[in-house]
Amino acid sequence: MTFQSSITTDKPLCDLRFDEPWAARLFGVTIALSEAGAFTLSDFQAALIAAVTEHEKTAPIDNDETYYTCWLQALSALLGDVGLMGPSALSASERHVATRLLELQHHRHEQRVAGEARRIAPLVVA
Amino acid sequence: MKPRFSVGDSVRVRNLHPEGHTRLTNYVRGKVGVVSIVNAQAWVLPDTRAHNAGENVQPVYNVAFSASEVWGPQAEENVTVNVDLMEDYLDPAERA
Amino acid sequence: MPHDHSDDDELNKPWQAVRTEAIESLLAEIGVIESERVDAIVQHYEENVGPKTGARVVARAWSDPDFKERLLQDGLAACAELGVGGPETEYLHVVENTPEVHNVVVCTLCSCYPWPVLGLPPAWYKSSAYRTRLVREPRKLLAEMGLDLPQSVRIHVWDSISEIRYLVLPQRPAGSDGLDEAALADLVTRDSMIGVATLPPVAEASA
Repeated sequence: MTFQSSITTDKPLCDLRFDEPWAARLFGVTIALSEAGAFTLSDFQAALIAAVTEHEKTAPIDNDETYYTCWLQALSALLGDVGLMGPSALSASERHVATRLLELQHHRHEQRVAGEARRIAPLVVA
Repeated sequence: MKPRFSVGDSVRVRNLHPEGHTRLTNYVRGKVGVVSIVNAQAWVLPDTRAHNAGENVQPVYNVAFSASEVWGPQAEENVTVNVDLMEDYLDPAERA
Repeated sequence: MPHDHSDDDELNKPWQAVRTEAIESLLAEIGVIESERVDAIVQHYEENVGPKTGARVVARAWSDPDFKERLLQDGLAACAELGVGGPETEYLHVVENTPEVHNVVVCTLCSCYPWPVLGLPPAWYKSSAYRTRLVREPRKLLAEMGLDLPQSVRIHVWDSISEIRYLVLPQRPAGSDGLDEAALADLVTRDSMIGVATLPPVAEASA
């Protein structure tokens, strides 16, 4: 595979967007944290270098998802280093988010069942 | 802060292997280049901060390396690699 | 719209999305960041800042020799004259392409990129392939990317591993003499400001 097959051409000067909503949030959260003085972007750069180096020991970065996953590993590690969020606090918060998603799923399911019941009801009338 | 090196000085990159974070790229370790830009402003040495050893303020130099110095005989011709390096990473060198 | 997602997407989030949300919600809860600020930052980078910003700087440099001198001297200060800048970049060094010298930018350690002038980096710029090959075999890689440089042209590869960010000032295209700044800015591509492309001659209007 030549490099060309893996690159996008630069026809219009369109502004770039994030492919994944989570990558956009991750980027925004990182900049916001640096604005808030939680760490400097230079600190973050060092953490990103470490995460990229670690990842590239086993596999290349060849798309945005992999790259921003390294970014996420870097931010998780840095939040621990600066004492804002250790691994256990992060896990707890992740469980909280996952639980909320499950509840949402359950709620959706009940809505669907209820919706089906409503559709059936009118046929009873003779 | 008074920079130790000037534009045109030959410098050799120290062969450091500090633990933890470093922005010293492997490919220039031990190589000789020529200072092309002196950034005399105060800079933080990231290695130091990453180790919570305080802020070690020092100038950053852009050093030009010929590709053959970095990669040896298989290097492409007429190529220069310019790398930003902290003063602590550099030693004076005889012109390569 | 990449940011619109259906309810199903919301329920089938990848682990990265769950963790990002976990980080953001906890930090917002303890008052370190505000979600509104995160919204604004994302919007700024997706909509306000991009290669057009850098193109404006380049077009001014082509039109105004004094500005160009200031730009090459202190990139960020000159950009500030055009209202361009941001807290994300402390030092911007602009490197000028000439018939003899071609400059190209990479960050071998991660993906440092001049955000305030070019916006978000393209995926290929962050790839391991670009980051390892550009320093090792730039002429070959650039040729694969569609840029064949004569042997006589010296290639400078700028590896931006410190706080300093680099922007390439491309050569002004042949045939662009009569154009005003806005028309010049339209000619400038992102890739030419990274240094993986040059700008083609401007076709005659009558052609």
